Amino acid sequence: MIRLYHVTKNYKETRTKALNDLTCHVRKGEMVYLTGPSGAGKTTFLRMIYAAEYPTAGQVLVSGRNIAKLKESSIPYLRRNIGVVFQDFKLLNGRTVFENVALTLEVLELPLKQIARRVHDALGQVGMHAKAGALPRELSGGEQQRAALARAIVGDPAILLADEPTGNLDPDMSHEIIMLIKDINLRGTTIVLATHDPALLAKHPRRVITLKRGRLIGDKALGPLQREYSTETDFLNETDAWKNR
Amino acid sequence: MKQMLGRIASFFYRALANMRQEGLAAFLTLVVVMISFLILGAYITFGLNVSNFIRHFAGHVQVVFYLDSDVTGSQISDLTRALGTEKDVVEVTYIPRDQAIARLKRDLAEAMDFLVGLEDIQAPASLEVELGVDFHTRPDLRSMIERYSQAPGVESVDAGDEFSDAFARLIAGLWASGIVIAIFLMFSAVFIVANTVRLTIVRHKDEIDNMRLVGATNAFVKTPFLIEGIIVGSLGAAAALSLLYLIYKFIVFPFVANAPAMSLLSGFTPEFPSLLISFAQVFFGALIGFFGAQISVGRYLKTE
Repeated sequence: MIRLYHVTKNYKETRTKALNDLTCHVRKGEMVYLTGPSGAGKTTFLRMIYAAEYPTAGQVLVSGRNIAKLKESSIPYLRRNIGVVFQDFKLLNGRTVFENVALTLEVLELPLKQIARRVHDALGQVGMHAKAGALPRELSGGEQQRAALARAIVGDPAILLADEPTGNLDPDMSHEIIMLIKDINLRGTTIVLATHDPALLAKHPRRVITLKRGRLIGDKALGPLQREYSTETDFLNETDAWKNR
Repeated sequence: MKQMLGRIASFFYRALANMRQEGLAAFLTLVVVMISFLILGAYITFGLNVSNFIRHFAGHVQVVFYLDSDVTGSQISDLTRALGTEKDVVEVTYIPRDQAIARLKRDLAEAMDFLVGLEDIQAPASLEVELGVDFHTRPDLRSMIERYSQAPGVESVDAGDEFSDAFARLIAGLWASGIVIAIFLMFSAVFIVANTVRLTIVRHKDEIDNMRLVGATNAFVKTPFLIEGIIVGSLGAAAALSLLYLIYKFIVFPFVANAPAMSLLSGFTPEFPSLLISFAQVFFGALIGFFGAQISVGRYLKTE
């Protein structure tokens, strides 16, 4: 679903290397944590998947599309297949929850009736039906993140990217949000969740990709799988085995 | 079809909502566009009327070929025939000597008291050649006059050159300066519309970013801003035309209509630009709005 081959990303302005020869693969339907300290390159990794950044070197393949070679006019069609949630929610303050969620479908220019039905479904999925008419400022942090989740999934994307979705939330709220994300994953959506909250990884174990200064320093499955890809070769062997299944 | 109309309605709704939110800026832009078009429209109207004024006079100005006192009948008929075949010559009239004298006496009737002793006033026979209304722009007029001034029986030529040349220069100057003013005004208008739309874009930055994040195409993001530019541009131009029409109807027309009978304006009716020119101005306003908006939104989408 998502493949990175020897991806390097340099920022000329700050002369920093956000990603350094990174190779990894996220399979369809997987839920993967992307972790590492601040400045490890997690956000750049995610931004590359939805073509907000282009690699300086290497290849990024998302659902078979090569991001490095993607035409600007094709980016919107890639993004329609990807939902994104952020730590700061990025909801539009002047719009109600319903309108925020509906925006995703408005850009698809769907009929109003269909938009209304799908927005109600998405809000129901995240337990925000009752707050459809509320403005973001009238909501708690957890509710805002639920609304943001509804906005990300209402278009039924194949991939959900979450950049520190629990960063602004207390542990109980974080738990609720992760449960919702896991639920979304169970419905078949591939999820990449960036976090540096170890409690989250321990409580909801999944495969963890660890970055440090833009390099891949670990790729292991926590919890019942208990597998660890200690080296890049291990990881590549595993992905080949997966492909040959 | 229904879906297409729904899309268009949704774009207009977003454009009007943007304008409502940026009420003052949108209004000021509209006023600036209106002032630009008012100046341009006034210039067009002025130029048009000066042209008409000259044409009005040109109808009465003739090239007069004064004939020798010993000109023969056959020379007169040869000249009349030859001049009649020239391009833009409407009519050639032979004025015999007696008629010329009578006309001169009639024209000078009021001044005759001062012309005591000149009862034996003399005037040569002539051929009065009336030319087409655009004669003053004809480059070969001078060569035609030179050719006939050498013809047998012709003594001299009065072409009213100074009059027509001066007006031709005036018209050319008017149009040239009009073009310079128009270009300057239009650039200003585009710049101002671009800045207003930029304000709207800055205000809606989060919305645009969200739209792009969830897969909006550039056309989807751009269209309401382009519509906003078109509305501001065309409304500004239309308001300018309306104001100009009111000025024309209540100030210019009464002024000319009440001009003294002997004044230069006597018999001249000022004209307002045709409906086609008016529509062209509104269309031009819309075009300016479109380009202004395109500059801003295009630049934003390129850099973000």
